[in-house]
Amino acid sequence: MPADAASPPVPAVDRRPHALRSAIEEPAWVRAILITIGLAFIGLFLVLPLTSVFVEALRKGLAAYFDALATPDALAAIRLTLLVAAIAVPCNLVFGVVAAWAIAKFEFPGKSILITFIDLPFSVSPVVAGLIYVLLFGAHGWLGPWLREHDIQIIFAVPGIVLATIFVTFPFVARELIPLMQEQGTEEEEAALSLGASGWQTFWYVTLPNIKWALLYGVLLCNARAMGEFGAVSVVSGHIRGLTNTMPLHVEILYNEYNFVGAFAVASLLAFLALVTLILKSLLEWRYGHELALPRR
Amino acid sequence: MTSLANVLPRRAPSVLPGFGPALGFTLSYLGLIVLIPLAALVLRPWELGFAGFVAAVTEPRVLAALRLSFGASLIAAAINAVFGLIVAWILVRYRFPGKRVVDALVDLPFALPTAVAGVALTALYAPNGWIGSLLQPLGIQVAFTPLGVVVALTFIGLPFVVRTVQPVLQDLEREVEEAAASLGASRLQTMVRVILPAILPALLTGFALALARAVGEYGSVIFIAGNMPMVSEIAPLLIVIKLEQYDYAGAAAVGVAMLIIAFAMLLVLNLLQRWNRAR
Amino acid sequence: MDIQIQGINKQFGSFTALGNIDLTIAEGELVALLGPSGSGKTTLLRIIAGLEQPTSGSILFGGEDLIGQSLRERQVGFVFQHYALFRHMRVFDNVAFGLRVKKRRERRPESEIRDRVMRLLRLVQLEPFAHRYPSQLSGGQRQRVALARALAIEPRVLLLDEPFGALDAKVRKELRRWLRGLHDEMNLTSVFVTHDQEEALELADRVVVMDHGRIEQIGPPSEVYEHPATAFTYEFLGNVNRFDCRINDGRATFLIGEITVPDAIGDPAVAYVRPHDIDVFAGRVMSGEPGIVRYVSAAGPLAKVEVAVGKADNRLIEVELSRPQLHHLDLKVGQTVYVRARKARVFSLAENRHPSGEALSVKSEAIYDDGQAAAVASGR
Repeated sequence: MPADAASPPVPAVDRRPHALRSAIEEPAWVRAILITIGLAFIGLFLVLPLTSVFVEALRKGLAAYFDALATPDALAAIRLTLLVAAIAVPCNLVFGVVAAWAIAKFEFPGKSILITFIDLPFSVSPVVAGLIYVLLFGAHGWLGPWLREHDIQIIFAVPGIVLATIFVTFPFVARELIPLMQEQGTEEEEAALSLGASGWQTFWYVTLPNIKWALLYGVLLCNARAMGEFGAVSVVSGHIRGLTNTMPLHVEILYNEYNFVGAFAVASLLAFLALVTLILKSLLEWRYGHELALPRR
Repeated sequence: MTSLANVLPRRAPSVLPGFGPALGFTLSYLGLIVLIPLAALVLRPWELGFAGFVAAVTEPRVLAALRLSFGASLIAAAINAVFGLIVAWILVRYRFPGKRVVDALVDLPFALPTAVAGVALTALYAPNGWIGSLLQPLGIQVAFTPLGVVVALTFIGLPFVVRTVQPVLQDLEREVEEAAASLGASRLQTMVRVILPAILPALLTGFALALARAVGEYGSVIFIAGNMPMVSEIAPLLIVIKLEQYDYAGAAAVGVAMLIIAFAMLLVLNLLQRWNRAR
Repeated sequence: MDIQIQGINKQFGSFTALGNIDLTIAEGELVALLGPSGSGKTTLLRIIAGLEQPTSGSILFGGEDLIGQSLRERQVGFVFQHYALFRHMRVFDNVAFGLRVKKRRERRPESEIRDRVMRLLRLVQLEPFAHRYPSQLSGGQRQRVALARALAIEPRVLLLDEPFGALDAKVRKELRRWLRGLHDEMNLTSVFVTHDQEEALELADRVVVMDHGRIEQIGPPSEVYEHPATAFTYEFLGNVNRFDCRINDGRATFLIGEITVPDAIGDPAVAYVRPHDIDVFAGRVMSGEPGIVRYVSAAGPLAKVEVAVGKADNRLIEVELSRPQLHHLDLKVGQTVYVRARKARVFSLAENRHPSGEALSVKSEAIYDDGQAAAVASGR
């Protein structure tokens, strides 16, 4: 019952919509101009190219569109793309979780160097990513002669494509998880262990639920890049139709053959994938933004 | 790469299990997928000897390609710094219909495969395309010229500035702007003297990220560039061409040159971020 | 410069943040706007500053109407709750900012700006810190930078939003004393917002108590504390126990006592009893309410005791006893005691919001016939 005189402290941030805070607003005309410029830029560089993909794909009508997609080569490209992503994404998923566990939950010297190395593939040109595997496994590469003797084909074959894809999508999951898990600390895991949970149980029931949305977020971005990678895959693939052609490579081949409807039909599938990725990504951000380590990006 | 030795476990006390296996797996996977292959690249050009390496990267065609890659990337990153800042500003400060869609769309260049972007931009800017046909009468040709390279690299780098500046703008206290106004600053003075310095590190970071990405970009550029040697041929394409001619050492030389430059930019980036944090 | 606030209203959509505020602040006065969060005190301060526009009403500085004048034209010094220092500028540049952004023909040469800034830094005792960044300063130092920065533009009035809110208790006290000294020295009309009654009572020449966008009471600290005009003010200034009470034949009866009241006060009414106006007895007394001691804290000059009374002992009453009293009673947790109000203040709820603005209330000492109250009271 004591009616204490001290009221709760005033909230630190003024959450009123800023329309009500006239003192620091730009004049309406300035706002209008800035919004116009911003939207024009987005329209010119993002909306138009995206729209043109679908328009070009449907230029000769729906029938031609589906015909273009139903060719054996296109179907083989779709199959290969799915296969590559189905291998590369789980590999990097496992790596991301394990690496984040080691880096975020333990202290050891050289940690920041390790993080830099994990981020390294993002700063390497995709072409260089392909090149390094050619230098290793190609006919004139370090291991080339040995591989030929044992009749193992990596470059100009599916394993090379998978390797190159793993390289370019290497950091995606790890870099979503590391900052988040660092932020979360180790207290909850320690509590679980003190209550008698095993290491696996602790991970499964405590750590994983805390990072699941960030994990999904990382997988989503990883998958989009894995299915869409062009440069790295182009270098190692050899462009053998029906065998080592992924969807992006198939777009290139058709385009260079002036089969524009075919090229844009396959491109439209990839663009559709990109849109789905964006939508899911936005949903995750809106719904679970506080469970992702977003502000740092 | 010798600094890897620093990474080896000298374990701090912790009750959580799995440090050894986790770090072991992390290092092996990192080594096999990233570090050893990169080492193969770094070692390769030296079979030419140092003079050979220098000759390989100072070939006029290579220099022209590097110049185009960096020049066009700088221009594209600068364009993105200006317009990305405006986009970030309107997304954080103003309300307008479709704002959420625009916000989501900013990440399109991350999600859209580069080859798709390449063919779409080419179709748009080709002389008979939607935009190309408008520019043609003005005597401006974009596709198959260095200008086309700039357009593609602008597309690729677009999200970086927006996404680095946006959170900083979001966290900017409105009180600080009110303080400036109450001290007699005009809105323009507040923008230039208070807001801009506060977001400058983020802006520079975004610029550097966009630049780094653009320099290595391949897929979206090769369709629109026209790929004329000495004119509109980018450095990554040159690597591909050299590989197709089985000039592995030459390809590796260009690759190493690009790698060194990328590393230098990464270093600058880290310094920028440290500077940002220090304040 | 005096400030006149006339008929200020502020609506946020359908929410009335301020309703018809009238207030005159004399030149050189230091006024506290005191109230809980949501009382409209910060909004009023922001309207005076020009950070916010009122829905209606006017603000006059020295007779000059300011409504419509922009923030930069008003020349007010505003100290923000979280200081709002420019992080990328050194202390010196923060203070110099207002001088450097002046229009060219009003701007003083850089050497004069320098002198002025250094003088101000001396005034706030921060001269050695001129070249530090705000992040390298303590909270109290930042607060003083913010103050120096606001003073640099030679403001007509000084406005401070929760000036000590973000500081720890010790620094807060020091800074409070220092600010009072500074104000007396400069004689600048100043208004500050606070939710801390102690701060308002100690620092201000006059206190404006606000609640729900209205002014509850205006007066010097002693008057506001001694003669609260409304139930809200009474409750807000200091700890109280609140009781429903029944009025019968000029007597107000509540759980732990009864007092005489004039006829003008009728049902429904509430009685407020300050913790130090309650007597505790070990044995049964007239009108005393039995209760069980739940908690005794003897730290500090006054002992705090909580006694559970009422049906099922479900009502906790806060009592403050002097140390001798506590010693004399030798209270133990779980012990049964009798509590009785020595003084109470009764507010008629029905007429509390009388159109005249004057709340009907009565303060009275309870007189009991057993004489024990006097005996205990004399022990204090």
